[in-house]
Amino acid sequence: MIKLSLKSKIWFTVLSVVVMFAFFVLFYFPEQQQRTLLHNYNTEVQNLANTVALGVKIALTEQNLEGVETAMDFVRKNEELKFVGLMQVDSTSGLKSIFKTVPDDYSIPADLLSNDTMIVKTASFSTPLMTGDIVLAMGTDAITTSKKEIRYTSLFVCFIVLCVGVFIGFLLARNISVPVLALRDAAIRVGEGDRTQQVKSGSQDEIGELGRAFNKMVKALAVAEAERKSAQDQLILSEKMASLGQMTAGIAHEIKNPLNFVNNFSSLSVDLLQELEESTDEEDKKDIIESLKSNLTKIAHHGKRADSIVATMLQHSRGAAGTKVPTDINQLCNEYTDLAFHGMRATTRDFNCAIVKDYAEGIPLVQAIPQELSRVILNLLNNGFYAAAERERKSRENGETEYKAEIRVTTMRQDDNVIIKIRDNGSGIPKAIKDKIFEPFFTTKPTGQGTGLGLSLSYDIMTKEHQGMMSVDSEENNFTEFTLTLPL
Amino acid sequence: MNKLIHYILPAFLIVLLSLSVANKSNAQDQAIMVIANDKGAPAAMTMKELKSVMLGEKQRWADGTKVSIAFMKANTSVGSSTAKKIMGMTGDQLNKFWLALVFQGKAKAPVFYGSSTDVENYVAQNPGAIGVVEAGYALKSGHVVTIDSKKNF
Repeated sequence: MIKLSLKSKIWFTVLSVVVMFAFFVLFYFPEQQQRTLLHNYNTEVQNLANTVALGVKIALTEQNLEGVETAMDFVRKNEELKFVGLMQVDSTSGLKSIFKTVPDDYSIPADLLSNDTMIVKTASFSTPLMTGDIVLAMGTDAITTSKKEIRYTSLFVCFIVLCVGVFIGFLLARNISVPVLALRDAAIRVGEGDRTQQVKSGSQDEIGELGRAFNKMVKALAVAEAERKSAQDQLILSEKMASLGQMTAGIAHEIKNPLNFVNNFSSLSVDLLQELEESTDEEDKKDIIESLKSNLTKIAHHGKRADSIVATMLQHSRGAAGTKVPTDINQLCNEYTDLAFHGMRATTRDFNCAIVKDYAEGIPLVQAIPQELSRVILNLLNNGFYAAAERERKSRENGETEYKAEIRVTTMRQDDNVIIKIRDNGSGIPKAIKDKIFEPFFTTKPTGQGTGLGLSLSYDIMTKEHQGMMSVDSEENNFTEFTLTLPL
Repeated sequence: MNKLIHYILPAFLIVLLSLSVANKSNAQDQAIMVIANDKGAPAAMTMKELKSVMLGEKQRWADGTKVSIAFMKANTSVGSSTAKKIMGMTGDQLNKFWLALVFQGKAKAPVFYGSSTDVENYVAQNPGAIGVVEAGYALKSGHVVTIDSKKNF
């Protein structure tokens, strides 16, 4: 299929009309005109011959020569006259002989047929005195001249039509093609994301209306997009806040544990100090002091542990947003798995889930954005916990007791990639919606529990920010396994 | 009835034919007279001059007036006598002769009338006109042209 531009189509249409018109003007009309001319001329010559024959008949029957005199005057004055002959037929033999000719002694051809240079017509007469024919031959110079004039006129008309056609072509190209092409270019740029495009729409025709409608549409699109972006930002913020809440719960739990130790051992140490003050036995004092040392060591140990947790969190949150740093994937997975687990435990106390960590050793550091990657891991784990909890709830409703929720986090190296697999044995993803789970705002969670942005954002983080991949394998009511691929 | 058709009808036709031949013979004997408009034709001409005029050879009179000719029709006794006595032709021959002249545009066509009065009227109204009427015709206008010094011949 040949691709023709709009301008080409306009020119093709205009030139087709011009060519068709030229064909009619140059060939069909002249041919018709010439045929009509020739027909009329033939009729005219025949009428003249008939008139002369009638004149001869009257002259011979009524001895009135005026008719033949008038007719012959008319014939002789005609500049196209080649010859006129009065032929008589011998009544006994039937042979024709020349009675008289004009011009005198003209040698009349035997065939008496018309040709390109003259029209020959015969008219018979019959009287008692003489029977015969009038043979009249007229030249075709006038016809030839007329033909030439028609041809020149046709050429001139063709030239005029061609000029008008070219003019109309330019006008159409300017009034249709140029605005439409401008509209096309603007539409392409709008498609590429430029929402400031506007086209000139001065004309009052449909193209002008199209231009104005386009401008209005682009403005509305820009406004709608701004509103959508604002709403999306709000949703993303909500999603971040939600994950932050989960993380905060995890962090709180992580820190609460060593803090409990610190508090308990501090309280115990206060009691021991009280006992030490009151004791008089040197042996008891020594035992109390040993216990105090042990307690303080434990307080210090658990204090450091809390400090270490906070330091790690800070380390992950300090980096500038969007900056890739060498990251230990196993450590990141481990910390956020714990955080997610404790976060889950903090919100749903009656649900328990086994965590299986299967980290490959010797995985090199990966260039990653820890804040973003941790959000992906946290999000997938939260989804896993949710799916496992859902399946457990359904199992309980069905009276099944053997279901044990389990989340397995696996890391491995595969060629030049580091793979993280997060697998849950939850409710799985139905096949019908498997293709939609990475679409923004798609969620199966009840209203208020999910924004539908978690997997969409995770997918963008993996593919756009880490040039990696994110895929899912699932079987309904059996398992779901997300695979994150990070290039080394 | 059949006898009537077989014998009487042919006999009747033979009588009619003899009468017709007798009439024609009488017509050829009709004396004629040449008349002319006062302008153009001279009062006297020779037969040769007259023949030259009547055959379209001489087309202008001595005074420059154009010759126009009026004949009686060939089916009249005067007409046939005119053809015979002046041109030495039959009426049909004269007719064909003049047809040839007019056809080729060599002479102005003569006019043919059925009566001497019409011929006289034409001659009277057209300068340069010459005509042939029955001998002894009482002329009201124009003049008689004597041919070889004879008024009637």
